[in-house]
Formats: sequence, C-alpha cells, structure tokens
Amino acid sequence: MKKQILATLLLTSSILCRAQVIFNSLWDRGSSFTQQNTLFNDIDLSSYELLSANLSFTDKDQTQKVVLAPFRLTNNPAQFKFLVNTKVNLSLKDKITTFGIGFGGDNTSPYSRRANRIRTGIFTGIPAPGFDPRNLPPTLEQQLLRILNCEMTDPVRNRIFDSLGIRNCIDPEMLSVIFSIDSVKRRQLILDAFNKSVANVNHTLDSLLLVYDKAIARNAFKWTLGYNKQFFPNLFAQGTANNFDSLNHYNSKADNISISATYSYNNNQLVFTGAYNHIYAKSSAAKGQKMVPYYGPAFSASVRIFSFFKQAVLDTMAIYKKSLFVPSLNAGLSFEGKYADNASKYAPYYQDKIKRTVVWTPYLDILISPILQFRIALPIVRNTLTGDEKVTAAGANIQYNFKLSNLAQ
Amino acid sequence: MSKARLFDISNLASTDVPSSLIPLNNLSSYYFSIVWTRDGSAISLSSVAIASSGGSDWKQLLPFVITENDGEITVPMGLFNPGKKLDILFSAFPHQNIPGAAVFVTNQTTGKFQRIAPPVGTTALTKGKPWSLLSTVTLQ
Repeated sequence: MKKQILATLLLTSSILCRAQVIFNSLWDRGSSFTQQNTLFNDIDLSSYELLSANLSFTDKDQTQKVVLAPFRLTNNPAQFKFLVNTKVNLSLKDKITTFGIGFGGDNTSPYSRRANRIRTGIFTGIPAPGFDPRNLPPTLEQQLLRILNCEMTDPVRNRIFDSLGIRNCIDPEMLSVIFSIDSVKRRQLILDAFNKSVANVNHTLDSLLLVYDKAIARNAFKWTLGYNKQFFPNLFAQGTANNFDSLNHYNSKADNISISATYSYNNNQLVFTGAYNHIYAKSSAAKGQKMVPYYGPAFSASVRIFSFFKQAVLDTMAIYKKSLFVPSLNAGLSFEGKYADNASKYAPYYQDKIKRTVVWTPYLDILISPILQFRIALPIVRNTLTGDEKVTAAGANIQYNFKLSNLAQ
Repeated sequence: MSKARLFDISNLASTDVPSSLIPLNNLSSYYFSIVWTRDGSAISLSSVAIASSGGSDWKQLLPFVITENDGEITVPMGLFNPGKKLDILFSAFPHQNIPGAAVFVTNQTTGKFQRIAPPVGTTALTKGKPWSLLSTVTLQ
C-alpha cells in the first residue's frame, strides 16, 4: 500500500538529451518517450533520434535511460534504409536493468518516397536564371590590346604613344603580373555577378524549402516495434547467508514486446500517440515465482494551445527554418494501463498484489527552445488489488527536457 | 560561344568554301556533374553557365532548376575539342546538410572525368546555403 501511494507521489526531474545528426532535420515531438512517462518509460523505444538520454529522479527511485540508433552514425545512413531506424535501449529503473532493441519507420524522413514525391511537386518548373555579365568592364589586357590594335590603324594614337614613350616602357613580365592580378579581380567580379543573378532563384528555393518542410510535417506518422529484456539486480544483490540463493533464484525479471505509433498534424499542432506493451513479468527474483502476463495499452493526445510567435515571425526565425521548432505552450492528456492476466493461476504472483494499474496524466508542455523544455504533469494513479480494493492517488510530476534536434550547423 | 570546330579554316580565303574537316573523332561530348555522398539528400542545381576561358559570352546550360535526391545531377555541356579551356560557373542549393559534395566534368567519349571542385576530396554543404563557384578547366 505504501509503495502504491509513494508511486503516485512523483516528483520527477528529467533531462532529455537528444542528439540528432543530419539524417532528419525536423524537430520531433511526438516520438518522445515522455509520452509514456510513468509505467512504461523504461521500455519505450519510440525514439527517432541518433541518441536519446533520459534521467529521471523521483522520491521513490530513479531512472537512467539511453536509446541509441547506431546506424545513424554511419557516413551514409540512407544506404541502410531499414536499419537506420533500428535502436537499442539501455535503462535502469528501480534497480531493474533493461536491454532492448527496436526498429521502426518514419514518414518524415527526407529519404522516403513520400518526401521525394512532395519535393518533386514543390521544386519543379523553376526557371534557371540567365547570366549575361557583358556589362562588366573589359579586362586590362583586353583594354590594352584594344588600344594597341587601335594604334596600329590610328596614326594619331600611334604618334601619341610614341611621343609618350609608352611602347618602350612596357615590360612584358610586369604586364603579365598586372594581367594576372587583374584576372583574379575580374573572376571575382564575374562570380559576384553570377551570385547576384542566382540570388533570386536561391531565395525562391530557400522559401520553397520551408514550404517543403511544412508539407513533410503536415502529416507525420512514425512507428516502432520493440523488444526489451529486464533483469533483476543480480550484480549488486544483497542477501543473508540463509536466503541469498532464493533472493536471486531468477535473473530474468520480464520480457516485453511493444508496438507504438505517433501521428502528428500540422507540425505537431496535434499529436496522438498509441502504444501496446505485452509484458511477461515476475514480481521478484525469489524462487517459485511465475511469469505473469500483463497487457499494457497507452495513448496520449496533445494540442498546441498557444504559440509564442506569430507564423510570419516564425518564418523568419533561423531556429524555425532549421527544424520547424515552434516555441509554444501545449496541453495534453496521457493514459497508461497495465492489466494483469485474470487467470486465477497468476493471482498469487501479482507484484504487490496489484492486478490493474491505470494512470491518467494531464500535462502542460512549455517549449521554449529545442534545448529548453518543461513539462508540468499531474499523474492520477489508480491501482486495483487482488481483492478488488481500489487505491487512487495523485502527485505532481515536473520534467525538464533538453533536446538537440540537430547537431549539424 | 564556340562550342566545337568541325572545319579547318586556317587557310580559308573569303571566297572559298570549307574543303577540309577537322577529324570528327577530335570532338568529345562533355557532361557537368555534381555528386554528393549521402544518397537521398536533395540538391537543387540552380545554374550552370560556361564560357570560353576569359570570354564574356556565357551560356546557361539549364532551362530550369534541377532538383534531385539520388546523389547526382548530370547535365550535358555539349561537344568540344579536347584541350579547350572553359570557364564554368555553377550554383547548387542543398536541401539538407550534406557531408560531402564534388563537381566533375566528364568526357563521355573517352570516359575520363576531371575534378572541378573541390581540388581534393569533397566539400561539406549546409542546408539552405548555396555553393557557388567559378572554375576554369582545360578539357581532356
């Protein structure tokens, strides 16, 4: 009972460290495993980043969690297509060690057929700019040749050259140096003129890139299929001489299979997540325990209720153009359920005699920047014990999120 | 801009008609290519212009901006005599950060290619920042 109450009085400090290489430049909100932040945060594999790290501290326990997608570290992740969304999970929660592996899909990937189709639709039919730098002044060499050619047919100019003695003063080597310097300057002039001629079309492309990113983020769908194996704390198990063996009779705490999906609309204005976790778990490492099947549905919905900047301002912000991150206030509600199999043969092996746990969590997300986010949540936990006794409690849940959407400059 | 020479007019008088051809096998078909290492990243080739080296008569090779995501954009430059010196201007607009890109000119006739930029290895491109360059190449 005490544990049940304590479990609901969470005061969580969480730091989410996310590093994303250049694979996907759009900031991701829906895939965060904070969507399942109470019951299943240690086994959630729904990360679509190179690295997601989570540290949670509560008055009851603490969780350290890392999800790594190693194939994104390769020089050319698109070659691995399927493997690029493969991720491994390592977490520690309540002295339970979890190893997991998962794979999934993400339709916001710039390498997807959908992205290719959208890109083709947006970037087709843009006229290439003309380039005619004839208004540039002729080179010194051209000018000089022109003059010399002219003086061959112009007796007046010829006489002027002769009278000034210029012809005798011209040193070919010096001329060569002068021409060389002039050539470099002229090439820069040409390049400047060229850049000026393509500036408009590049500006158009820059605007269309934002249009493209928005189109990609309009309907984003991501999914993950994962498997986790959990272990009792055998490495640091403590026991007396009498019960040490029974305390550590089992290594395996649980096997979990999970599938999760996220849909976000209009660049995370609306985010829906759903997950199902199928768990076989023992309540303790003591001898004689049985694996109990648990069914764990989870879902959440959130909405952007207030953006700190108007869209016109966002469109000019570098941080927005880089990853479509919207500084905003968001409200959401999540549900997590953990239901033990009802068969009577499992009843003696329920952990803490709990046969059903339901957690409803209303929350507010304050998104200031990709590296500075806060969540204020109020999880309401309802446990049903084997005797159908119900225990309900609520506690504050505060999270601090730190996320790097893109390490590349 | 003179792209190719078919006739030997070194001794041509004003009243003559060309009587001799430069051997046609002296002409080669050349292609401009930008390639990048990350298959799937997109680049828009905004402009490619060529001119005889030092000349001011530039020819735009692209009627439209070309966008691709398969790691290569190749456009025909035309027929030239090997040894011809060309100035090449190009501007490429990367849609994502791209760790390595390079530009080549290929002689399709001989199958040989020449590196235009960068001189060694590849160059990294940043999302939304155009890569523009003026380079001079003696066609091989």
